[in-house]
Amino acid sequence: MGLSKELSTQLAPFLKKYTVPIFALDWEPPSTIQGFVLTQKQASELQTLLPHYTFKLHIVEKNPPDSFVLGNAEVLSLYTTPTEKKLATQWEKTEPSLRNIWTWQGYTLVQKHEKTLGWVLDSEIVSTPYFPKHSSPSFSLPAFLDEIKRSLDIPYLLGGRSATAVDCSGLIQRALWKTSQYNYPRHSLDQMKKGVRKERGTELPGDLIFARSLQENTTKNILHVAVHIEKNTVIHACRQKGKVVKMSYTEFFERYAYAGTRAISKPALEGDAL
Amino acid sequence: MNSSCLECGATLEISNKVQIGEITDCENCGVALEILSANPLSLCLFEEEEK
Repeated sequence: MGLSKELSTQLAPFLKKYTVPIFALDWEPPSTIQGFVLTQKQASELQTLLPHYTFKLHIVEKNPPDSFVLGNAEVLSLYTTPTEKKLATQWEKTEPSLRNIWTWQGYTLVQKHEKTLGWVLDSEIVSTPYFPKHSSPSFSLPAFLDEIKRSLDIPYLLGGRSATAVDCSGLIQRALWKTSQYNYPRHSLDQMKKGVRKERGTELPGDLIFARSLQENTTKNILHVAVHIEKNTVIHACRQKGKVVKMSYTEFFERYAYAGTRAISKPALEGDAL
Repeated sequence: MNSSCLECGATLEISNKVQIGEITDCENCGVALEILSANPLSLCLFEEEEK
């Protein structure tokens, strides 16, 4: 069940802080909310936001706060729930270790360095004493653009964020991390909110173009993101084409409706790093 | 031009060159808003559907 509008509004600061929805709330009116709250700190924050609700917590911060894991393979898939195989994102062996949040019936909830969460099979991870070190990201636009161009032909996969498959926002996030160790949000709407608004027609190489699908039988309320490469050219992970492609604006706007232009914001000293 | 957030009522500063269909967000509460018309300015909530 989804969140009510009122509850969504009350939770907005919490969700904005943690970038992506991190728990599944089973709404039981009028006074209780059940869900997987991840840490005691987050539970306290939620309680402060929602003082009139009683929280029935399944488990809170079961694993030690300094518990980290690595994937066994080159690419580890993280799912939105333990039982539903809907891909949330992916982790690559070149990325920092994952924080071990909670284990449940053969699955483990892990958190990536950029705060994205997902469930993995216990058999696919191994404990590690290594924890991510703090670093200062330095955004390199030329390196980012080169990485985007190198990503051409990578297959499209919803939730994908690896050398083997990407979705539209995963392409951006991965390229920024790989080239600049810059933790950009995972989801397109969050990427849009983080960027610096620009007027249409003032795009520069590396700017992000946000748009919504015009394809028949698809909702217009799914936000897509592409990278402006040069005049009349974008690169994006295209679901219809099944891979990362270079496309003219003419063709792009036959498929998508314009929703905004954003320059990639410069990383802050903290918060955008590990 | 100024407007008010549909969720929290905070003042929004919207560019005069905004495009219909463009999405903006409220810096106060973070809600996403869609530009329905530019003159006069009209907004609606943009609720992204799950992919």
